[in-house]
Amino acid sequence: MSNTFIVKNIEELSKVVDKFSADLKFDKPNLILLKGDLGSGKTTFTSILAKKLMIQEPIQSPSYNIAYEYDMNDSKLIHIDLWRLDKKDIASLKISDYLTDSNILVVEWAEKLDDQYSKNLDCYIWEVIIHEKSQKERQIIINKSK
Amino acid sequence: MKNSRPTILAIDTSCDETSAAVVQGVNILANLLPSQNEYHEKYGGVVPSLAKFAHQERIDNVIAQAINESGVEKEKLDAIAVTQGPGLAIALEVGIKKAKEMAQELKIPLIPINHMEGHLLSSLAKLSKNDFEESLENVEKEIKSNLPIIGLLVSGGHTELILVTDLFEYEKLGQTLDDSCGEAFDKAARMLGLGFPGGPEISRQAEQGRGDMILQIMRMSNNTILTGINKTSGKKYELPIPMIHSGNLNFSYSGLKTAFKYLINSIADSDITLEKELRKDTGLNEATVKDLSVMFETAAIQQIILKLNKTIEKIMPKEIWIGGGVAANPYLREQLTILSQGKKINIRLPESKNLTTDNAAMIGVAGSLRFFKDNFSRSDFDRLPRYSIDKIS
Repeated sequence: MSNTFIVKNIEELSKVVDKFSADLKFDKPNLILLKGDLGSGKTTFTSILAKKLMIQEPIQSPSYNIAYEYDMNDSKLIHIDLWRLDKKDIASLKISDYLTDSNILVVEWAEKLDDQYSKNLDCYIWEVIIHEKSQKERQIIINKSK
Repeated sequence: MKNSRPTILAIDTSCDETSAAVVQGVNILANLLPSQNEYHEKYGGVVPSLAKFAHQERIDNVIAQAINESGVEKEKLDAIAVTQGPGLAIALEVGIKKAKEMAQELKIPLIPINHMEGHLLSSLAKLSKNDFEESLENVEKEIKSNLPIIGLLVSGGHTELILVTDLFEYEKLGQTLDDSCGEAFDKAARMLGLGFPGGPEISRQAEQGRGDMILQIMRMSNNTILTGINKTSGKKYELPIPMIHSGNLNFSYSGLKTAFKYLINSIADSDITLEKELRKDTGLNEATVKDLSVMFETAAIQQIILKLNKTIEKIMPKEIWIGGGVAANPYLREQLTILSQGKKINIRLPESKNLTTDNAAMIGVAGSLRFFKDNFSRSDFDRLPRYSIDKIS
C-alpha cells in the first residue's frame, strides 16, 4: 500500500497525519520509519502524530538525547533520532527492544538503518518519506510494508 | 556537626560521555571527560559513544583515574552521586549500576541526581584545587540571599528556563517546543559545510565576520526579523527570530533551522555564477560563510536574550545562573555581560568549558549540597530517562 500527498502548510500536513493515524492498528507494535532531509519536517510530523495520540507534552527533537519516551494509555510512543549516530551506535541501540505491547516507535533518519533491519520484526511497518518541493511545499509518501 | 565540605565521587553517563569526578564541597578535585582533548592527551583516544558496552568498557578506568587525580583515597569518600536522568536509558543504567556497587562496597550513601540540576548548579563549581575552599554553609547562605534566581540551561539536548525559589526548589518557566539551541547550531554548521559538531566553528566564523555586518532586529506585525548587511559587499540577508511574541517563555529553533536552510539555498544559486573560491560542498564562498554564521548566531542567541529579558521583567531575579554547552558561546557571553550591566543583575557562568558540556563534576556539586543538607532519597532507585527538574522528590 502506498499513498502520496502534497501539503502546503501545517493544516494540510495535519490532515495527512489524521488519515495516517486513523489507519494505525494497535494489536501489534507500529514501527514508523521517517525519511527526509534536514528541516523537511520529520519532527513536525511526529509532533502532530503525538497530539493525535493525546500526548500533551511538547515533542522535542531527540537528535541529541537520541530517544524520548511518552506515555499513552497502555503503551508508549518512542521517538528516536539517528541523525548524529554512527553504525556502531545504531546497532547498540537495539531498536527492536522498544517494539513491545502496542508501542509506537517513530525513527527519524531511518535511511541510516540497514535495509534488512526490519525484515524479521513482528510489527506493522510504515515508511514515511518527506520530499521538499519548495520552502513551503512537501510531498509525503506513506508506504505500508508490513 | 554537618560536614560542610564533603568529599563526593560523582558519575554521569547520561548520553555519550562516560564522566567521573571528585569534588569537595563545590571545589573540583578532578573532572574527567574521556571525549575531550585533554583526556586524549593524557590517557589516549576515546570516541564518544552512547553504547552500553562502550560505557561499561570505560567506566572503571575513568573512576580510578578521577580518584587518582583528586589525590583522595577511596576510603575517604563521604558519598557517591550519580545521574538518575534525564538521559538515554541504556547509558544511564551503566553509571547507576556502578555507583550502587561502589556505594555498597564502601558502605557510603548513594545520592541520585537530576542531570539538569547538575547543569543548573554548574556555575557554583570552583575549578582549581588552590581556590579558596568554600564551605557549603556559605554557598547555601549566598543562594538564599540571592533568591529568586533564574537558571538558563542551553545545550545540544536542552533549552530551558528554570526558576529557583529556594535551595532545591525548582519550577520550569519555559523550554524549547522543538529543537534545542545547541542542536540548531550543529545543524546550521552542517548546512554550511563546517562539519560536526560544528556549533563552535559557526561561533569562530561569526566572531571573524561580525565586525563587517550591520545588524538590525525589526518587529513586523507578528514576526521579528533580523536583517544583516555586509558593509563591504553590500549583500543583504534576513532571518526570523521565532517565539518572541508568543506570550510565554518557551523557545523554538525548528523554524530558524528551516529558514536558514532556504537562505543558504537562495545564496548558493546566485553565488556560483558570480564568485571564485567557492566551497565545493555548499557552493558558498568563505566571506558568505562568515556572513551567514553571523546571521545564524545572532538570530539564535537573540532569541535567548529576548526571552531572558522577558523573564527578568516577570521574576525580578537577583541572580542568573547559566549552564550547558552553549554557555561557552562568546557572543552569548558578551550579550549576557551587557544585559547584566544594564539590569544590574549578577550573572554566573561555569568557570570552564568542561563544566558546560555533560560532566560529572556538576553532578558532584549537586550531590555535595544534597549530602550537606541531608536532602536526598535513601531508597532504591532506577534510571529516569525523562526526569524533569521540577519533578525531583
